[in-house]
Amino acid sequence: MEAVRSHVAAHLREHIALLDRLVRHPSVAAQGRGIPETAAAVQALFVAAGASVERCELPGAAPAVLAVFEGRTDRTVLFYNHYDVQPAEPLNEWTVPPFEVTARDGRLFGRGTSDNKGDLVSRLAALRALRETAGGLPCRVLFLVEGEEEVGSAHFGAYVAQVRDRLRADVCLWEYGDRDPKEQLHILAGCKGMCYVELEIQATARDLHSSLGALVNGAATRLTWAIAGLRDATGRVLIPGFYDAVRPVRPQAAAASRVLADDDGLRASTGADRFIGGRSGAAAMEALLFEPTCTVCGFEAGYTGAGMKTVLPRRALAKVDFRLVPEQDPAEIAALLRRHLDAQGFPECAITRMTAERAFQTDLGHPVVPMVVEAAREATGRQVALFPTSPGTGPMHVVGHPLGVPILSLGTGYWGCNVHAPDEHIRVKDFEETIVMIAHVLERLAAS
Amino acid sequence: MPTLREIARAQTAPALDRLRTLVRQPSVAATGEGIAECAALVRRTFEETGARVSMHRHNGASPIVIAEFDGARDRTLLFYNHYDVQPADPLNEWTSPPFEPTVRDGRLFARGVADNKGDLTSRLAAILALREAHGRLPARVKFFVEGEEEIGSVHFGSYVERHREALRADACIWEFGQRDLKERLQITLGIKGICYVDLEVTATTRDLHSSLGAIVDGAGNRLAWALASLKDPSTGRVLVPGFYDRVREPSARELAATRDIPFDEAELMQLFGVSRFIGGVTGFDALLRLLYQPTCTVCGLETGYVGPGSKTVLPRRARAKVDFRLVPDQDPHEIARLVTAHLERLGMGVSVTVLGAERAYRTNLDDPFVALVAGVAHEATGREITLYPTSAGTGPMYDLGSALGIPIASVGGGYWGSRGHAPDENIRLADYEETIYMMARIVERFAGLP
Repeated sequence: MEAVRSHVAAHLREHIALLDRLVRHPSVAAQGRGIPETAAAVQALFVAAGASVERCELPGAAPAVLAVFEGRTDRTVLFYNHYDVQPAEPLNEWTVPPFEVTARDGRLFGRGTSDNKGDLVSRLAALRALRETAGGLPCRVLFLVEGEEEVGSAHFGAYVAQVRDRLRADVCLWEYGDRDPKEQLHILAGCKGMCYVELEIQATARDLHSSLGALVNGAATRLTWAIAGLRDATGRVLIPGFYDAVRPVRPQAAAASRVLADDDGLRASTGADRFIGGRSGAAAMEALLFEPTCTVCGFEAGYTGAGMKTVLPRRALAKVDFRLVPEQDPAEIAALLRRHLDAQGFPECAITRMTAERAFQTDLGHPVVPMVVEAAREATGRQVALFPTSPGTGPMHVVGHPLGVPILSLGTGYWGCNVHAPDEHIRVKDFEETIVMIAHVLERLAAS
Repeated sequence: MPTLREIARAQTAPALDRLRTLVRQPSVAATGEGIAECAALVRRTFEETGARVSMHRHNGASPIVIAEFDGARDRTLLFYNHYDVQPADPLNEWTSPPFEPTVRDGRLFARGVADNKGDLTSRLAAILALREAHGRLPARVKFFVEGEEEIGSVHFGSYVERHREALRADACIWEFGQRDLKERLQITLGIKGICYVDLEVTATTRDLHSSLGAIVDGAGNRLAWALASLKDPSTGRVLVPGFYDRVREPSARELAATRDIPFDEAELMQLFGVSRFIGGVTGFDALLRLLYQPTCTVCGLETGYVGPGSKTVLPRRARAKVDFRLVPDQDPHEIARLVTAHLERLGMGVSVTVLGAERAYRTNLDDPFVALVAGVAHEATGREITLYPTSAGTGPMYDLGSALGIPIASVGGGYWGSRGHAPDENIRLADYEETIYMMARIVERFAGLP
């Protein structure tokens, strides 16, 4: 590990230069900017590193890149990353240009430095360090890099199916991982699913004078009733059948939420002084990790400008995000929602399904889990917090389910990265440490 | 010697000229466009007819124009009108330019012709016709013309309070009146009140990732619960404790008058695009609810992300606008306090800001002025008259009626297709002429003439 550590320190500038090259491609999936160019740049990086590379394409989809590096053993690691980024807007809140790397105060700023180009580059850098210090890779390494993660990974499942026979691996290392305010390293072993819907009510043929509210409930009033009936203030979702597929939390996972309980940390990251239903400690962590949610992400109707406008709006719209846990099927949740709205007297409330992803959790009893945790601890000297699942969502199920592979997520981030926000950045030390950590994980895996 | 009807007819053309001049001057209260210019124009228009005119402005409010005409008797009739108009948007839906009066098919089109410059000029024409017929007005007449009606008459109450003496009158004719689909003339004798509030929830210090919705309620969920707690979905009953405590039930006389009001529910449902009314009310019950029940209506909502696609955000702030229409003797400020207390008990962290507060008002239907106006209107127009004890809408009638203690009746030159507040606002020229004569007759009878 010391040879790798020296190599990484000696070549850090080159790794940062490589990151800069990628960040300069403004690959904004939501805006369709620079996507094929960035895919080509990623492909070229892999070719230059000695991989055999396959570009996967589907009509109307951002290309994905499959790269295969042979190793001294048959043990195989699959990396999942993405080359697309969030929009840089609002531009005026950046203190540096978003689409280049700016080094300042030991940090590397730029859109994608944290999510997810920094991780992709750190992994490539780890391979180079292993190759140049040990004359080759200790195990086989696969990369599957997509370009639609920030817009819901709509085609990722199809790409996985296309190349499934080449994806056999012993472990999949997922895209990212943070250091928390206590400087513990987070490793995530799963993620929640999602059923994101748009609800729309058209209550009347036209906007009416609000004095007619005596006879007619406008769309805004009806929408607030429909939304208010989705869950109660204790956090319980009120849709019949919503919890039917939910399995009890596994003992190992429940134990993890006791270990991970951190009210101060959650208060700091949410700015809230009270959690839903008055939860605290293990109960709050258990809710965050293992309970499905129902969250209003937006709504609009009628007039919201200055002063009064006395209007009974004809149309109202809301966006609602259900985070799901293993075995909940987003399509079934949408069907249950339809039935519930009908039963509650809102048959006119239209549902448009936007994002549908299933949850995934790696079996914490799999031997690869402690192996990766231990390697990460050894390489970084950090305490490791193993999360049975992230409270967030990603396309893990699409990989983990068909391949039956354990998935763990760890990477370059820290609690202050401003992911998806202006001044996104990573710390140089974390970047360097992560390269060493990834190399060490590969060595340990090859030896296991 | 020409009859009053002939004189009134002769006054129609010059009255329309005055109306055209007035509507060419935009006076949009919401934006302030042309308000001062229009007030000056109204003042000049009255001065040219020999009225005593004064203009009042305080606290940066739009000017109020008061015009007085002496009469043979001291009995005084007060006309309430306004010179401000609604914005002309959406401009592309007008057939002819909104501030360029245009005659088509016997109708005059322009913003303000119906609401309310047409009524102002037809009343002035009636006064001129009476002066021509009698040499002198048979009674004193005052015009009270404000410039903030379309934005809630915010300075009306304090003005009336301070100029009670100058406004003293025995009865008042309110700004508007329509002919309905069956060409009956509507006379309205009351109005609902309003309590219009902004509700705001700030749930967190910043927008959060929506995965944190597992432990934190965002502003959107909280505001939806708060709004949903205001009204019962099945009955429409407002659930704020104390809300109905001061509701005055309609009197037997008001109920009897209401029975004569034509109410075509099928037509209304088709117009609104609904298949039933709140709580399934039908027929006379629906009409009673429209006129005599207070309401609670969400006029606007906003939080988080509503653009295309999905954005997984837990929004920190949410806002809504809610309109409560009130009936006598509900006090809008008390209603605001009750709503605030209700929301505090609910504990969703909702703050309440009052944007508009007006009380309801109803003229006593037994007041002789009511019978006088209804009788004259029928006689002068040959139309069937429908008496509305109250409108479902709102206006500053209470401020005037209760301060001066006088009966108020609203009757005017509009018709069912006038499209007030909308593109292609218009009046029918025949209605305009008819209204000039009707107003002249109302003043005569008010003065005690046959």
